[in-house]
Amino acid sequence: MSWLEIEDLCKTYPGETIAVDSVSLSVEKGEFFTIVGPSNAGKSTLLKLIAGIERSDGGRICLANRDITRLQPRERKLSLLFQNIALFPNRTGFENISFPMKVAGVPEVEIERRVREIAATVKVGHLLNRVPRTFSGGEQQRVAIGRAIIHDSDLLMLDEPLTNLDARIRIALRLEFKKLHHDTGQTLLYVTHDQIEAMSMSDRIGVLKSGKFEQIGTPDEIYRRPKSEFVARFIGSPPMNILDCTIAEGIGGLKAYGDGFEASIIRGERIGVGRPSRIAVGIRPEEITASVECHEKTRTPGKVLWIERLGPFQILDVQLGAHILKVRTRSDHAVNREGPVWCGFEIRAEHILDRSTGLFLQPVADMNGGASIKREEARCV
Amino acid sequence: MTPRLELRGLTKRFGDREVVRGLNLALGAGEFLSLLGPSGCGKSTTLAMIAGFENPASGTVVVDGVDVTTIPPAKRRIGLVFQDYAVFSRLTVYDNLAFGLEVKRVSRQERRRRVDEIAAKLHLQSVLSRRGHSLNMSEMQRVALARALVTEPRLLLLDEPMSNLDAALRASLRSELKLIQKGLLQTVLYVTHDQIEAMSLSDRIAVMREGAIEQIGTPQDIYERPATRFVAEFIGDPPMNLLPCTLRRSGRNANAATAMHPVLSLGKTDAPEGSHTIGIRPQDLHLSHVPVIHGADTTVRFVENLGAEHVLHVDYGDGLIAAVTEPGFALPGDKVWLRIDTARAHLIRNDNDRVASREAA
Repeated sequence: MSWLEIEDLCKTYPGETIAVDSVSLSVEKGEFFTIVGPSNAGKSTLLKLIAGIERSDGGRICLANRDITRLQPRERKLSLLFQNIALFPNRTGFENISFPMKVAGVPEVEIERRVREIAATVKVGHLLNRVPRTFSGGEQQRVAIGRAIIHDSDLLMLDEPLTNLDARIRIALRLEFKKLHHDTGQTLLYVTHDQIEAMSMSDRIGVLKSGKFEQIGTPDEIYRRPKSEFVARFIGSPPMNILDCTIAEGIGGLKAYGDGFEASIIRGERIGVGRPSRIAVGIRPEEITASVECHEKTRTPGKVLWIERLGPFQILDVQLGAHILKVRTRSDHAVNREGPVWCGFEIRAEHILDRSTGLFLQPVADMNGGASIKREEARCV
Repeated sequence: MTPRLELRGLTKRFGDREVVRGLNLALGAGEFLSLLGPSGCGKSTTLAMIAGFENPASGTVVVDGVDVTTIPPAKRRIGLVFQDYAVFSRLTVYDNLAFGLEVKRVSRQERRRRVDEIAAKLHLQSVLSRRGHSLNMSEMQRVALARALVTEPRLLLLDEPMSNLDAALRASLRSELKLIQKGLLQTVLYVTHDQIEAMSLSDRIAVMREGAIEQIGTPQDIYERPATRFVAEFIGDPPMNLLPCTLRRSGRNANAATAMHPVLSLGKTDAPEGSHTIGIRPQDLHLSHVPVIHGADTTVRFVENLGAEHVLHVDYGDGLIAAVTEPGFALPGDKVWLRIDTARAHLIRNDNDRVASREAA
């Protein structure tokens, strides 16, 4: 059994749609697991069910080999850090951090020792004798984290802890969370709507949509092999380009033919099963080659509509036929103005999308150990 | 040519605290300029003084050569778009757009004409009868822009309009806003703490700090040639690495020694010998799996997966240094060799916090 084991957890609020729809999840001890999704996906409800702040309609939650489904919140041995940092304004950093231990009746000497230790971990030693209004946003958040981790807990849950902070502080705290996790070995359940936070910090990510996990996997799996169009567009900035097309045998293998483009499919014979009636291909903005000239690898003419310059890299809005693609290049790239451009790209076999289901076709294993299907099966009607 | 907007020595005090300190700024017609800075830098107060909601302690606001400092907000011909767009949710789009004209007592017929005109330009004709609460964010942004533009302002002010939206939405709203602004040649002053927005939208950026402009220039200038330590640190994602160094001169040429690179040749510079800082962007560090000349051997500690690229945090002296690599280049625990591209390094003087001027040796 995993450290945190959730089975068929359900929650429906009266008069509303299902908030958490029979969710199952296993998180290992010491894992950094992130639940990511758009607003109203059910992220916070799921967290509240685990914390015991909300009652589930059904299902089971086990933590550290204990069934905690019916336990009171404070019997569950977990700590929760909310989006809005609620520090006691009239108490010092020390008093804020030590609060949970005071409530639990831990002896003063022990509290003193633990607070010093935690303050060193979250780097707030200089704030212990000061009150919160003199802290910066990042400092307030670090004190709140200190308070959340001071009590030994089996699970630390964080609900959008970086959401209201300046971009600068967010970037810095991302790494701080990673270090904290590395140094303490604490099992973390992190909730966010920000895919960058999810990708950059987590061991594994669960993408939540309408109360269900759309996909669970490592950041790499989620980014490279999204299961659905939803995941492909939610993870990655700018999102994956999705281009309607047909697929047929061409010169040198299978090809995707769409309005204004044609592209080879890498490892053409290894694409998924089924005969979808509407097909599209996905291509990440950084996988597209752009050039000022027509080359072997850039045979598709297009038009740059706008260049978004973002420092070390830039995003081109390129029109190909009826499609507008996002293309990511270095900022010192030769294509640096609006107007004609030549593009080229190849499609990964795992990025062929069945438009009717919104799911990418899954490669299947064959006798040779690879993934393969008959070519005619992939051909579009 | 007369600038569209000119600020001359604009100053604001709250009590005895000076929150805007003698600001000078000129904006050309059709220009998109961002005031970029952390919270509390005075950017929103500056905007409020331009709009006329706050009175400056001293200095003037000049629009098209006319001093408007004492003119009430409604008569300045300045349009405003607020945080979160603030579209009236119970009013129809038409009533949202007509609102400003009604306040200005424009006749019913003229209102109709001007609302239709701006609705056509911003592709809002099909939603004119819908109510504010039923709009998606793209429509919401266009309604907020149209509501400000319908009064034909000389200058449009936007105050952190996207700050509470998620990243994907912000990206699409940015390109839409830019296309509208370019299409209408509208002069815009945009206030934000988000450097991505400032970089992406602006013709020029004014980086503000503690009530004053720290540096003003094109996004590329600001990114590639930061003038001060503050700008160097503030612009860039992930942030620039700052490495303490000791500078030694031999003739006019200078070398810097950092914790792991004993000799970085910096060429000619006017900085004095002693303790300074090397600033190097994570994109300008070169990592290798095999030994390289001038490379320091080190270990990868953390990897941040950003999808299209990875950020590696590797040991450097007592701390960590960030480097951007291709996805999958290295894992935590891997040994790597780290080389600093000195042509892309900035020498930040510790005596005055300015970036020292350099020329190649």
